[in-house]
Formats: sequence, C-alpha cells, structure tokens
Amino acid sequence: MDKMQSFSPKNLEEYHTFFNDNKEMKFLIFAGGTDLMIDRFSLEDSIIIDISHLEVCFGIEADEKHVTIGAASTLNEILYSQEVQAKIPILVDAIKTMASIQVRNRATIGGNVGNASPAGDTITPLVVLGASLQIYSPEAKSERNIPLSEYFCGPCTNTLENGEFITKINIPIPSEKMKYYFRKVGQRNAMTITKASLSCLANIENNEVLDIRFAAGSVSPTVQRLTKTEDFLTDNKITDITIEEAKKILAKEIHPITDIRSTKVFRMLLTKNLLVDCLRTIIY
Amino acid sequence: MIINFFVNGKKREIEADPLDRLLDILRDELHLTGTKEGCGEGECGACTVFMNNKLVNSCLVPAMHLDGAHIVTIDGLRNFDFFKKIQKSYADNGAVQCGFCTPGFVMSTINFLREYSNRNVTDDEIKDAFAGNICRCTGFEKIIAAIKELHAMNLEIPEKFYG
Repeated sequence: MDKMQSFSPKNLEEYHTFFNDNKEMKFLIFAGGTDLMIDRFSLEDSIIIDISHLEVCFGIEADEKHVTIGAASTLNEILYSQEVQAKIPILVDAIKTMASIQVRNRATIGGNVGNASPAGDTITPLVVLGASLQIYSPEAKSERNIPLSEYFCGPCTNTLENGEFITKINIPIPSEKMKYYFRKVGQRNAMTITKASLSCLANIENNEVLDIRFAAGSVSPTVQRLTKTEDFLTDNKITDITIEEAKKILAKEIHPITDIRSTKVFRMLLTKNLLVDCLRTIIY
Repeated sequence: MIINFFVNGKKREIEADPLDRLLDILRDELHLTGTKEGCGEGECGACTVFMNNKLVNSCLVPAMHLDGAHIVTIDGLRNFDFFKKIQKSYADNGAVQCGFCTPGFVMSTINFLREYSNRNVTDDEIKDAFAGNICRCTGFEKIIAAIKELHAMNLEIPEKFYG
C-alpha cells in the first residue's frame, strides 16, 4: 500500500489547486468508504480524494419546495432527519431496508448514488422524486446541476469527468396528495442487496390515476422511469384488467439479467409482482 | 500519515497508511484484541466499535478518518457496571457458544439499551437493531432472550463512556 496516495481537501479552493497539479492521475472520490474499503487494495492506481472534510457536502436543509441533502450525509443522518421524515417519507422507507446501524452510520447517500449501481436502494426513490445532483467541477472551478437521470450511463458508470463529484442532492418535495410505495426483495430481510425493487409516487383520486411515476431497481443497466407503464396507467382506473395490462407493458420496459444474486426469469416475475402489490397498496 | 486520536479515553499517536483499517490498528498496533475480524466486509459485526459515540464496523473505517476521533472498544468497557450485567445475562441465557461474535453483539447491545431504555420495544425493533451482527451458533434465540432480559432491567448506560 506504500504507493497509494490520498488527499483530504479542507475546502474546494484547496481541491482545485491539487487537481490542477495532478489532473493526469485517476481521481477516486471517497466519502464513507463502506464500499471502497472492502476492495481497498485495488485502488492503488488512483488518487483517493477524501471529501469527508468538505463543508459543502454536509447538511440537510429544506425550503418550501426542496429538500437539499449534502452528499456526505450518512444514511442514518437522513433516516433520523425530521425534515426528511416529514417531507420525503419514501426515502426513509428505502433507507430503513438498507444494511445495518453500523454501516448506515458511515455510508453516505452521495456514495450510494455515486456508485451508480442498478441495485442502489436510494436511487429508485430519488428517480421517482425527480431529484437532481449538484456537481463540483475542479476544472471549471464551479458547480452545476444535472437531473439524476443524466448521471448514469451504465451499471456502476457515470457521466462525470475525472475529479468531478456530487456535492448535494436536491429533491423536489412531492405534494401531500402523492401516495408512495417502496419495496425491495433480497435474499433475506436484513443486510441484503436487492434482487428487485420498486419505487412509486402516485396521485390517485377515486381509483383514477392522475399522475404516476415508477422506477425499478436491479432490472436494467441503469435505474430509469418506467414511462410506458406510467403512460398506460395515467388517466386510467386501477382494476384487475388494467393491472394485468400494466404487467405486460412493464415486462417490455425492463431488462433483467442473470447474475450471482438472482436470475433473469425470477427478477422479471418479482418486478411484475411488485407492480401488482404496489397498485393494490396505493389505491387505498 | 501520523494520526492522533483517542482509544478508550487514552490519547494515542500512531503512524498509518490512509486506507489502513481501524480494526488492524486496534488489534495489531494497540493490542486491543477483544474486537474481532469476521467477514472484513461490514456484514457480520464482529468488529463493531463506537466511533464518536456511534456504532461502526471497524473493518470499514480508514485510518485517514481517525484524526481527532474518539474510539471505544469492548476492551474499554469491561469495568462498567452495566457491562457486568450484560456479561451475566449473556451467560445465564446461554447466549454465548463459540464466542467469536459476542464482542460485536455486546457493543450492539450497549447501543440498543442506551437507545431503548425506559421505553417499550417491539421484536421488529430488536431485529433491526441487530441486523448488523451475525451469530452462526446460537440461532439468535438465546441472544434475543438476553437482550430482552437486559432491556427489562432499565440499566443506566452513560451518553458517553469517556471524556
């Protein structure tokens, strides 16, 4: 481990200077480290940038329309935040299913999103919420805002340039009329990685769908909205017949694969059943 | 890099690489071997310690995050009254078999008792609180019996253990 280099900038100015002196190197952004520490010997060809001292990455703030979460906020800080509990309960439901107290005290939301895993459990709620990411660029020495969907470009790959990182996650507060649903299925109930999951936000009146948004986890290269299923259900009533039809449309929108955690066929079945469970849950 | 931090109330200065694990620093440098390594991936909880009063897996904490931190390990808790009660309850209930997971379970027990003392607790809350600890001998039943017995005692667990 002798050659490994790391840098813990105290502010963005310091980081900008460091970046300019080392930009030919591969930068690896490190926050809580609950993922990266496991394979730490494989990080040797990168410069580790420890963002855990950057004030810009901390804090949970809310105004009328948005909740803004610093990327280095731990999952437990978010879970116990009164603002998040009151305004973004779907995110709380998702975080409750993640890992353990020990891991949630260290793991950060920026890391979970930043890894861009199709199985990242904070990602499906953030996608249906229409969240956006604040990105710091050391090259441009400025921040920009991108929709979450523009961050992902494949399993565990993202669209950021070398040295760029997420500083904040901006979440529009859904109207109180919106019902929400999050469920994940793994090998066991606790401490498990998702085989399939579904997040949904919906405005439903008298059984009629006025607005609905879905995102499914672990069943496509990146987490995306299920727009065809959404379009079909919008302005429709939720009945046994429309649920059956929605399952067929959903099946064409997702692209599960077989890997160590599950099979293509089982993931397909799970996601369809999650859709049924979701629709039957939210109409009440 | 040189790291100054506190372990069980004592100031320590060590030299480490940025990604060295707290677990190895505790066991190999400071010879505090009560903390165990099970999986090394943050799943089993055998290496659980308090860092700045919060429960963490010491196998996942890099040295570069330790400067100024307050670490409390199971070795630093032996002399507290509540610890002796936990020890007795684990023994009485047969909650220890091979014993390897026990230090981690005891750390989570302390955190749990502190959070839930003087209030009712559901079985689901107990399961959530111990999701990060795995025991391959007892089947958990006896550990949960000990935890319930201890919870009923309303033990005094201090907010902070040192300083």
